[in-house]
This record gives sequence, C-alpha cells and structure tokens, in this order.
Amino acid sequence: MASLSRRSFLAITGALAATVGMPRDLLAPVLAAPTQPAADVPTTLRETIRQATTGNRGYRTLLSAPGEPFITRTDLIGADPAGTRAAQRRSIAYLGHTSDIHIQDTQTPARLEPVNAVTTTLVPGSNRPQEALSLHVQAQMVQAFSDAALSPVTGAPMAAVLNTGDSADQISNLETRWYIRIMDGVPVVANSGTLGVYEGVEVWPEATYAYHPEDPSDDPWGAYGFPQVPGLLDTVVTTEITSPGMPAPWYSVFGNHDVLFNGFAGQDDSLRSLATGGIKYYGFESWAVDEFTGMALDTSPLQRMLNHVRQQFALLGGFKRVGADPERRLLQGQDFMSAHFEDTGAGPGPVGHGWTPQDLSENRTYWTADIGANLRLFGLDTCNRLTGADGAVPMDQFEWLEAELARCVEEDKLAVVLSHHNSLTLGNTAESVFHPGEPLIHADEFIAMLLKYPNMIMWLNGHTHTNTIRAHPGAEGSGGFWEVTTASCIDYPQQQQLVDICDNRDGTLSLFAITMDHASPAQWTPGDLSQAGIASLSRELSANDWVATPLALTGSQLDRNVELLIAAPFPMERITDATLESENMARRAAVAANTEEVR
Amino acid sequence: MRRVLHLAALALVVAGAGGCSQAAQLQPVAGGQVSAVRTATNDVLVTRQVDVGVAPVCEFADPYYECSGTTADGEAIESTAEVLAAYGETTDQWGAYVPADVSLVVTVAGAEIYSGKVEDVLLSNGQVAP
Repeated sequence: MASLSRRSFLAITGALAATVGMPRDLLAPVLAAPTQPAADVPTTLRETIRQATTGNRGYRTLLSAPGEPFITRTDLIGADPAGTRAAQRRSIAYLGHTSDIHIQDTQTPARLEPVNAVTTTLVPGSNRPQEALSLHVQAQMVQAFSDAALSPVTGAPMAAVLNTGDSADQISNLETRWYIRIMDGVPVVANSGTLGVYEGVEVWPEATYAYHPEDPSDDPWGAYGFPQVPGLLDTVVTTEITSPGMPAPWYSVFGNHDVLFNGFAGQDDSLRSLATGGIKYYGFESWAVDEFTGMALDTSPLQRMLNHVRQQFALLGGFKRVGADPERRLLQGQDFMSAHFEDTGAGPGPVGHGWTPQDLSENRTYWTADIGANLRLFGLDTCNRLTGADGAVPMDQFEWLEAELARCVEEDKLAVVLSHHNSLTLGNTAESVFHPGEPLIHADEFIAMLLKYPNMIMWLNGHTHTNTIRAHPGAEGSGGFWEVTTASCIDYPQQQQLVDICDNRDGTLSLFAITMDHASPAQWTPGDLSQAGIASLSRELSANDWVATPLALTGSQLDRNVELLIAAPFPMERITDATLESENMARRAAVAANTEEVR
Repeated sequence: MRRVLHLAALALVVAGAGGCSQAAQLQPVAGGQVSAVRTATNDVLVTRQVDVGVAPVCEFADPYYECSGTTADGEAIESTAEVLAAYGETTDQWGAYVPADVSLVVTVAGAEIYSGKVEDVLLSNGQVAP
C-alpha cells in the first residue's frame, strides 16, 4: 500500500474491517502485506497428475508429475510480446472459473441408469463409476480455490468465482441445494431417502452394468481392475462433507443439466412422481415401459393418476423399494434461479449470485454484474428448455448483449461473457411448439457479433468437459477475443481454472489461464476414506471410465497453463493505479474474511 | 433385434417427451472427436517444440478432420485425421470400450512431423512411468 499515508491506511483498514466483519488488528497485516506472486499455490504450474503406465492391468492408478510452465500464445497479436511486460504488469481482476460440477444424488429414482442395461454408449454419463462421490470432489475443489485465493502470477486477491453451469445433474432440488451449500461452506451429508443407508445400483447385484465398490468381482468394472473399496458408500451417506466456501463472491449461469432431465429431455408428472417416490428401477424394460408410457400418455388427469398408481405399487419388475424423499423433487420453472437467493447463513455472496430480484420477478434468466470499476460480466442462458444437450442464444439475449457491449465501449469497461455452451456446441435448433419461428442464434453469428466490440476480451464456458482455449481473431486479423473452456468436476481430469487479467502497460493485456486440480492426493491410498481421499479416489476412477475417453478431455498444453496476449481495447492508463489499489484492498479484506485460516 | 427395438423406443419416446419431434437434438454433446484431433495436433506441436503463432483450428470435412494454423514465422501448420474405427465399436479383453481409432498426420511448412494415431498422442501425453 505504498501510495497511502499511514492515516489513510488505518482509516481504510477500519472501514474494511467493519465491512467484512473482521477485527481490525487481524486485517491490518493482511492489507499491509506486499502484493507479489503467491508462492506455493497448488496449481498445475507446480504439479500435474498423470496416469501410471505400468504396474496394472487395464486399470491405471495416478501419480504426481512435474508442473507445466506457462506457454505464451500470441495468436491475436501476431507478434512477439514485449519482454518488459512481466516486470510492469498489474492485475485488473483475478478470477476463479468453475464449471460442470454435476452434483449427483445417485440414490434418486429419477436417473437414466437402467439404460445401461442395454447400452452404455447411448447416454454417456448416465452411470459413471465415480458419480456417488461428486460432493467430495466439489468440496475439495472449493478447497483448491480457497488455497489459490491469491494469484500465483501477480498476488492479486480473487475478485470473483464464475460458475458456467451444469451445477446439478438431474434438475434435482437436492443436488442444487447441495452444490450451493458446498460453494458457501455449509456442511452436507450426501444422502437422500433412507437415513444412513445407500440405496442404489452400486449396491444391487442385479444391476450388472454398474460398478459395485463393495464387491466388483461380478461386474465388468471389477474384471477391468476397478478396486474393491469396503465401506465407501456407507461413508458417503453417513459422513458430513465440509468445505471452506469460495474465497470470493461467486456467480452462476444455467447449464443444460440445470433445466432438462439428464441435460437433454423434458420432464412430466410421471418423472416427477418417480423422483420423489419409493421405487427405483435398475432394469431397462420395466423402467422404460413405466416411465415412457407415463410420458407418452400424460394427457389427462385420469392417465396421470393411473401412472402414479402404477409407479407407487410397482406393477412391473426390475426395481427395488427405496426410501421416498420429497426433497428429491425435480426443479421447475424458476426454481434453479430462485435457489440462488436463499440464505445458507454463510458464503461470500452475492445474493442471487448474478441474478437480481428483478430478474427473478421478470423471469429473466441472464444477468450482468460489474467486478470493480473496470470489468463487466455478462451471464447468458444458452440452454434450450425443450430438448437437446447443446444450446443457442435466444434473440432477446443476443440483442441485449450487443447493446451492452456497445455500452462497454462507451464506458471503457472490459467485457467478459459467461455461458454454459461453447462455440462448438451452440447449434441447437429445437424451437418451441408454442413459439414457432423464435430465432435462435448459433455459434457463427454469435461470434461475429462479439468480434464487433473490442472491449469483449474473453468468453468463459464449459459443457464439453474438456480444457480448450481458442483464439477468435477479428476480421482483419487484429483484435478478437479468447474463448476459454474448462474441464469438469465429474469427468477426468476433474480440473478447473484460474484467470488473471493483467494490463502489461504496453498496449497489450495478458490473460493468464491456469489449470487447477482439486485438493486431494494425486495417488489414492487404498483404504483412505477421508474426504480428500474419496475425492482422490473419484479422480482415479474417472481416469479409468471407459465410457468417457478420459485422456481426450485434458486438452493440450496450449489449453492449460497459458498466457493469452490481446491488444488493449482502450488506453489502459485510463484505469488508474489508485483505483486498482483501492479494489485490491477491498478484495484482500473479503478474501481474508472468507478463507479458512482467518475464520 | 430386441436391443434395436429398445433403442428405437427410447429415442422415439424421449423425443416425444420434449413436446415436439426434435430427434436431431438428441445427439450427444457436439465436438468430442474434433476436440480430440485438435488436442493431439497441438500436443504434437508442443512436444516437437514448434513455435506456434496461431494454434490450429479444426473442422470436420467428411470423411476427414482438417486443422490449420501457422507457426510464429508464418509457416503453415496442417493436420488431417480420419476415423478408422469409431469409439465403442470394439471392446478389449476386459470388456472396456476401445477408444476411436483415428489416424493423424501433422505437417509444418509441408514437412511431415508426425504420422500415427490420435490415441497414441493422447496416451503419450497423459501417462508417465512410475
């Protein structure tokens, strides 16, 4: 805080201490510490995780490998960057990027597991071997974000964490509540239905397609070499999962799994009844007849009643009785958005996590928010409410965003767009029968619009569960923006991202994208059923999930730890050092209040 | 035949559940194979210490995946890939699905720097010896 007098420093410290609810004596040394690259931040700059090549059958364990240094990408500037930039750069905003968390209540009857009795490739991700461990992974990922609260590049405190969707897996109320609680640092027991008993295909021998960790000897996963892990599922449903909570305010957008069943299908009374009821299918024929008959004939109150009776009395085989649970209800309408307004009693906020009360009242599912004086976020909803995993940009959002980007140019704001879908997956053409002809904007047209606005520097997204970074150059080979896609928490490599937006003071910006593993051992120790141990096991299982082609999801080195150069869209000296210093202090105070050590 | 009927019923009814016939949207998430080709191409470039100026961009031009970019010196980077056997067509001795068999040829300034399989590149970069 070199530019502040002692009196000013004490005054600001007092004000910030009151704002974040910390003792001034505790906060003062945090704010007085020099801003410098944070040492020992546990990212893949320091250590990576790889599959072991030997010592196994088909199944491969994981191990620690050397870190990956930054690779500088100049795709958008077409020239070598100035060598002086490292010494003179300053951080505009340091961000966390999480996506595709896919929290799963694997005990709910409303899942597509029975499809695996026929085929495991038609609906990938309907029965992964690691799915029951998703909350452990999210909690350890939140721990990793907390550990990385200060930038390893500049030392800047994290300003915000941006979540680009698929937070839940099956449009489930319970999954959504669990994800929010872990983000906020509120403990969760990953159980539903019967108290303290795991009820699902992972413990039912009849579900021969599933991985049975208690005894996999009779399933294909065991034959492949998947480990026997006694006590795993009992631990999952009886042990409280804790997280430190995100270190900075977090923002969310919709993913297709937050609006459609299994991310691609609609819901009806039959499915809703199944979700909260006491019958869970493992066999395909009975499940298909029951569920799809219900869907297809769900046209009258009488038929809906018959569907309900058929389900509740289980007139077909291929099922087991489980504890019914009304909390497993499927989300409808605005439920996912409104869940973000509920007070968990903890967490860094903000209320609504991007959406405002006005958005909620007007059913507007996209939002904008300023992160400090110089950065504006745009959270889009690219999800189709009718059908299909992939997405599109509705015309009303497209026009709104274009007008907002024009405002960013007028106001010298850097713009970052968030959406669930990326440029490979904005191709959904499913139009509502109720709104025929409603225009849906797809990738080419959307990118062309973004390229018209030089302040648009970065598009953060997810969906494909793959680390991918693409340059989108302007029409004349100048300008453009970076598209940064992160991997998921559910599939290997279970990695997320950090992004530090820096001004190089030479007419360029550097966007540092850093890949991060969750905070758990690279190599799982057999028998380790601690929270971090179970997260580590989840990563190992995911690395061997033959339905997911795990090694294709890591991306290349050009997609992981990279410095992305881009021309500054306006003279950056318009952003004063004093402004950034003031923001830095406020963010440091917030991070200190939100991190475990200080609490 | 029974299996086919099951799948047909599944597809039809799930499509119907959407409220109208939108079966085309029931395709899995797009971009999986083209991402794998792009990842392998980029990993070949990094491993061989090619100074990349513009990282390759890939697209599907049936039956090939084609990627193009440039080096820092402005030389052309190109790669071509072809699916020889799709993912899931075969299983290994433990019953696990064998990844897609996809050929890959990468050239820089017209000179071939790699000719092999996408999967071999992914394995090479994702695994280490203990």
